[in-house]
Amino acid sequence: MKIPEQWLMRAYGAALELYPAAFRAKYGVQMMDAVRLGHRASTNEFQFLANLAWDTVWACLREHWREASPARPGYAMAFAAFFTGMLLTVAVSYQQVLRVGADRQPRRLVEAIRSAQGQVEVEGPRMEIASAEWLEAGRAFAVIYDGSGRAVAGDATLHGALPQPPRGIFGVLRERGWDHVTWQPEPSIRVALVGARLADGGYVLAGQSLTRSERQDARFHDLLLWIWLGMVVTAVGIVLLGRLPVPNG
Amino acid sequence: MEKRLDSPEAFLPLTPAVFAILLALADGEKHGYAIMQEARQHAAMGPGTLYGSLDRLVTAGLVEEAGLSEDERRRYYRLKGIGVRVLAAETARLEGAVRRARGKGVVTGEARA
Repeated sequence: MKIPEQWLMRAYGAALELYPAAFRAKYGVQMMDAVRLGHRASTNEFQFLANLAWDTVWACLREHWREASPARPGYAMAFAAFFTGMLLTVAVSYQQVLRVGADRQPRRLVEAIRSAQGQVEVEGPRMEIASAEWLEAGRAFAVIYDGSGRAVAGDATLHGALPQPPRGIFGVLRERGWDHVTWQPEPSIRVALVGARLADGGYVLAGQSLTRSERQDARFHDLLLWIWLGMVVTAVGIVLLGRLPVPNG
Repeated sequence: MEKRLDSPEAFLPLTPAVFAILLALADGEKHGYAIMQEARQHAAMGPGTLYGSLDRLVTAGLVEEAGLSEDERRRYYRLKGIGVRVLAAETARLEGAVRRARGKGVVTGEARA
């Protein structure tokens, strides 16, 4: 038994919508005609419909894939945007990994001091955190503060005095119990600072220089920038090459 | 198939569908449905495959459009010079393959056994 021709044509007309618009505009009428004639001539209705469905699915995929040629400016731009987004994600993720890594050692120090109820000795030989040696060393310092936020003990100095970060951090520590920030007392000094409130109402802050991790981050960003420039040049080249006239046989 | 080169060999090997379409056009211009009917003797082909392949062949310069029927429902196609040469080159390639198979004792009748 054959399905009515008008139903088939309506269904195939709807299926043609799956093809790219330009392809449909150019061949749609002829494809409808071919299906009409093929249906009239077919002796096995099921096989005809199965073949037609298979052909439609694969041809649609092929034509859309063909349409998606990187030589088309729209697709090249979409690819460039996607690639740029991907590189930005990689850049931000890498930055985060380094930043979290820089918090690790200060966090351990803070945990040790907090669990020892502030009884840990933090009065060792004092490091000068403005010195090039400390900025490059990757060694953490710890300073104890009283309830008012005044430094009372520590194993590091900033220009000879115990480091005194902005008072705002103590307000946050009072509210949340702990915090981590990037502290920049001077343009050349950037410190990953982790803090916690102590049981006696005081605070502990531990910090580590960000100089090395930020230099590593900058080098990685330079690499990503070169990769991005390479991608842009390649995408533009593909689009331009795709527009070159080619010899016709 | 998006090639526009001067050497027929650059297009080889052809897919069964493309070979069947070129072969269908070897004896003169035809419209899409007539090509499809003849090409089906060699390769499975529906309207999507046919017109997609024809579009590629036109873009590649192997085939050209030869006009529309009066009711504009059928578009006619014919081989261009390079299309004829590509078809001949593919036929020669297939003949070579057949000769090599025969040389190894392959007998076509055994396929039906």
